[in-house]
Amino acid sequence: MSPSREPEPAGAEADGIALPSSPQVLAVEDDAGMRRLITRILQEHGFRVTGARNGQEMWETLERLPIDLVLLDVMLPGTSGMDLCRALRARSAIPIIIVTARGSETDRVLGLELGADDYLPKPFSGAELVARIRAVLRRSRMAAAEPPVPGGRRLHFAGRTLDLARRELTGPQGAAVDLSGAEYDTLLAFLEHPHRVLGRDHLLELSRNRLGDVSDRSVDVLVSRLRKKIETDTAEPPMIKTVRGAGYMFVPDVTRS
Amino acid sequence: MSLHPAWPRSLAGRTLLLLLATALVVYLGGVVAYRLLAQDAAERSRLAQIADRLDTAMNTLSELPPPERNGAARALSSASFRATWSATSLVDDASADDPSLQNLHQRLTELAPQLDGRPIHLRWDEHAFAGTQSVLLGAAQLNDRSYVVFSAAIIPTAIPSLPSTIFVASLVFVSIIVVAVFMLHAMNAPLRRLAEAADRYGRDHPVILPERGPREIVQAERAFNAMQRRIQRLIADRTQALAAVSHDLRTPIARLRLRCGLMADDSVRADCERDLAEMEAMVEATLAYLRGDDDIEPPRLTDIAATLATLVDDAVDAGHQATLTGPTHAAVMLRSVSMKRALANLVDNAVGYGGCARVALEQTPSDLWITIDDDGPGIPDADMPHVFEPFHRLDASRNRGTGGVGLGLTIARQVIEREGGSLHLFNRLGGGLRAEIRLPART
Repeated sequence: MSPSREPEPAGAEADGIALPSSPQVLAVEDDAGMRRLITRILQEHGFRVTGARNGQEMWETLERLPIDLVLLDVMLPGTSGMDLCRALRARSAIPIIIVTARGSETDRVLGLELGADDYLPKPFSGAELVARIRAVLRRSRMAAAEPPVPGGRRLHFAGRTLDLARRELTGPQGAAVDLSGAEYDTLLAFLEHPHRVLGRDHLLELSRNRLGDVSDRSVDVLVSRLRKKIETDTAEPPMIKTVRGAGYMFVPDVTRS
Repeated sequence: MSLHPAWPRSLAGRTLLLLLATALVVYLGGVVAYRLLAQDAAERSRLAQIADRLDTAMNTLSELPPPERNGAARALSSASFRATWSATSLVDDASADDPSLQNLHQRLTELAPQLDGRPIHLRWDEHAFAGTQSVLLGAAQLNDRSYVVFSAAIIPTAIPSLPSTIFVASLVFVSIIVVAVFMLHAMNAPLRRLAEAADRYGRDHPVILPERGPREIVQAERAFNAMQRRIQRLIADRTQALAAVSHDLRTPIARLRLRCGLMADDSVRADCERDLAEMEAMVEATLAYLRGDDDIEPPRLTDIAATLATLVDDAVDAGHQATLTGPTHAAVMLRSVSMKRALANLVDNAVGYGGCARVALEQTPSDLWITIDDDGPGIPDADMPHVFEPFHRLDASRNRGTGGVGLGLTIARQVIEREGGSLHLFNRLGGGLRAEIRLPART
């Protein structure tokens, strides 16, 4: 994975929704070294960054500055990061990315259920950090730009359920189906736009948020992997239809609850 | 110390043997003592009777005129003591050659003082042997130098016959065995409990023994419990230290990961990132291993085929050769996150040491089988028994810098066995290693 050095990568506006020129990120992190590094890396990628050492500083900064996204380390001393996440979500719809310990499933699920938009397992690379922040910002802009979709955080299709809070797909028998990060993002894009052709470029841009370097071909690989995970062996009609020369279309109806 | 093969090996057997030997000694001693004492008592009372009758006969006859003496003597006779009167002795004294007669003589004179000093002739009636009875013939001189002649049976002690001795002895022994077997079983129960607990220790959760039973056993149980507690404390201290170090390493590793991104030289950066990934894997493996059973993840229905697909796809994306065959969906009840970690360890081993990973999934009504084959050199037979030991690593020449702290297989087995499954490794006949996982098909 190689971090891109230019302030804004080409193709960031591929979906037609522009990010503000320099989003303001609030990094809540108790370790001074980490805070400095995160600040420096994000600044190099065109973000404005404010650091906060704890919950109190976070609240103060939120009152002082218009913040576009909060990067919240849940392994904070004093007030638990989880409590901060809950309190923050109760007050505002500001995008939150929680930083969890790698391998701590409990933190991840709890954080997402408490309203975080995404999670970043520590340790992470600069490229992962930048890609994840961009993806979350883009999704929140899209959600703001589109008419609000009624319903909750669970999407149902063909007997399957995608739980957005837990980032979890369950199959027709209720079995949890493991998805890679890129597969999840791709499936979510399909579920948010059923019966619509999604271009390869759009999907490519989505997966660029996860993978460092993706080609046109790897979008096809990604879709074929996703098909295997959501479709059954029996000869039912495919859920993801290939539209020659255009891209892919998600066929089943999607409902929210 | 070499013992006779017939020597019982169990404590119960030895105790039983000891009991029986003691009982035998006590019984035989009892028989002998009983015989001696009973014989003695019977003889004493019989002699007292004879002395008494003889005394009476002598007193009566000496006061009667001679013509009446025969009649009186007959009147005084009974089956066990016959007396007659005679002017002469009629009995040849044999006591000079027979110590038993001398002994009788002495005891009679002790019992009947008036006999003292009088000539008494004693002999055994050789013609009157009847069974085990002996008949004593005697003549005691009266004052007028005539004699009271008597014959008396001396009834020897009833001696128990050999068969009845054996019968009674067997009865006693069988009773002892029956009682002892129950008693010893009960007495040895705490000892067995202790042995079982000691055997389980280290493989299972520590077992604190109830401290009851005989005093010596209670002491052993108390010592065992104390030892367990000391070991637990020691392990807990070390575990905490290791966990603390591993945990604290995360922050510097996280900082280094970010700093790597700032490096100008791409090849140096790639090397650093690889080293960091390795360090991170070590820390995570150590923490995962130490977390062990404390993991609070609940079991849930999981599509294990999808999990395997993710792992195989990840390996392919990382530039390895990996394939998956079998059904595309297979639901099973398990702790999905830890199981994914276990399977990832096995796939990583296959691509790291074996050059490739051929994963196959198979479903039977009762079980789910996952095999992971590689084309590597396999594991030398000498190393096989140790591969699951924590922190065990195959020799450095085979460790191609893929890192790890030797916990991958330990964690994999820990996780799989917690689901009631099993993990086996073996070298395939044509070469290469196979990891075979069986999981119970719970849904």
